[in-house]
Amino acid sequence: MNRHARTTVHTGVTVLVACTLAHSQPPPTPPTWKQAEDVAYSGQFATAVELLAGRLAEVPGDLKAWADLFLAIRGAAASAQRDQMLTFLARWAEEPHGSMGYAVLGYAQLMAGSEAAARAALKTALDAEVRTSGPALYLKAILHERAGEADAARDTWRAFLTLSDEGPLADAVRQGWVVVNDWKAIGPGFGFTYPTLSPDGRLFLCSAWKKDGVHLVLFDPATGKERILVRAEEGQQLHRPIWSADGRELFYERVIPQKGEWPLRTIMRAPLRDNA
Amino acid sequence: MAPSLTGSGSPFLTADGKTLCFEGNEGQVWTLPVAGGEPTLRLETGPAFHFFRSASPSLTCDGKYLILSGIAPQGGAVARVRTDDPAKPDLIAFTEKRLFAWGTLSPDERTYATSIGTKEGEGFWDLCAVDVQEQTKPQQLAWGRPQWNYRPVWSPDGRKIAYVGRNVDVRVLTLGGLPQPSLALVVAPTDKGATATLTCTGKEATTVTATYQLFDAASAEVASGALTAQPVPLKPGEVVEFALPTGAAAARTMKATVVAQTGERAIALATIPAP
Repeated sequence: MNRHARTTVHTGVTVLVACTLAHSQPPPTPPTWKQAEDVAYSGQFATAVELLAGRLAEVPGDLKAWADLFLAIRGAAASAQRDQMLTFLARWAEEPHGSMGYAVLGYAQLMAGSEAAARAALKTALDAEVRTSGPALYLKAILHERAGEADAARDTWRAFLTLSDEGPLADAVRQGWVVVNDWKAIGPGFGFTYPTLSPDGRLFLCSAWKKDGVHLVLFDPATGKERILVRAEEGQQLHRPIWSADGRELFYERVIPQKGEWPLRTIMRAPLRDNA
Repeated sequence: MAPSLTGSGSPFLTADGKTLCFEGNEGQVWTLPVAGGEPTLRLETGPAFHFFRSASPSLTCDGKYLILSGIAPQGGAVARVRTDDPAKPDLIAFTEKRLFAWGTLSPDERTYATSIGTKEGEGFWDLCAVDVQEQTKPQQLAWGRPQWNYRPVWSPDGRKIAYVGRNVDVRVLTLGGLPQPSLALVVAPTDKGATATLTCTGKEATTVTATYQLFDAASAEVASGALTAQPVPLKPGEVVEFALPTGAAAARTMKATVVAQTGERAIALATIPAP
């Protein structure tokens, strides 16, 4: 557990002990968002979440720390540190942070793939305070976005901005840059790079590193099926594909590596139907 | 002058699909009409703004601006370059100690998605969004995840960003929030087909043209056409509905595109329910 989160337990005994300690040694300084960022850059996203939660328990108005907390949560949710983060936040939410703790927990559950748990956390957060908090509104708006409830999402974002109209989170809301979903479409091991989305937004076209070359492969994330759309000739690699607006043509880069020299690169154009 | 046939790469299509933009081996930027024509040299590498060797250029539909990431004399930068005056780029994002890698302009031409990191090929890189129209601080979207050497790409409706993660997995971010464009477009299936509902959310009157496309299961276009015979005037707060045909039996996805006289675009996608 984070040491700074512990110091915010508001019982008389704890406060008395804290005051007594204050005479014997200076209280610990809440970690800054910069310290948490340094931890995150070492790949320790769950630890960064703990540091930032501790920071926000002490300084709830640190807007940069809020933005970093949500970034760190997404980093941990996408890594093997997901359970460590969720365990910490579940404990942290039970401490008296008002609706903030449950809203943060709900956001983490959402990014970890459990929308039902997120909705339950949001309900707890909204029950925790009569006046809705910024983090609870943030989570509520994201849940509306994911459910396709555009009007409710817009109203909730506006309500969020009335409570918090400065800082990176508010900027993201105003610019339409809030990450409401973050998912892995194609897992590691496929060797897919240079993804591009089809004009209807459903399929991925990627450079795929196969045993016999780097081909252009169509991948359907809904079914997991893939097929080679354009096969590279021996000694060539096919990179950076893009689709024409009508989905009938492809443009891509044909690369021929040269020993010790800059590779030869040519932009190719191919009718899709001929390759399908 | 023509680009080298074996020294051309990083193709980018404008949001209207009409112009191809690409780079030469020395960082030059060329454009070429998709319908046919001669390539035009838009930018040569100059001393004032040294672009990445592969600058991965993006071009606006009107052909007036290139958006590129690169290295300015004092640090990393994202620049908006006027194609008719490339010697004076506007630095729309700047960082002293870090670098911007390859990026891509969003379909509505408001945002440049790129990654920002410490050193080419090393360290953690963050996925970030840069406001193309105003000089604001880049917003970090994902921490320490993207592979710096693969540019992120946008979905056609501009609400998703796909990128290659550190483990060479492909990840997708869905964006939300409260942007303030002048147009809000929603496509929804109905009993008889589909309806595109357009709302003028801006403060000024405008005129719009609208088109639609239908795609089959293989993402190939099976039908397309205009939803407006002529530009439609739109007042602030006004709502207009367009009926989308779904006549093609093979159609599985519908896409509506609205373009305002200002050049602003709104794109919406919807799945056609199985018969």
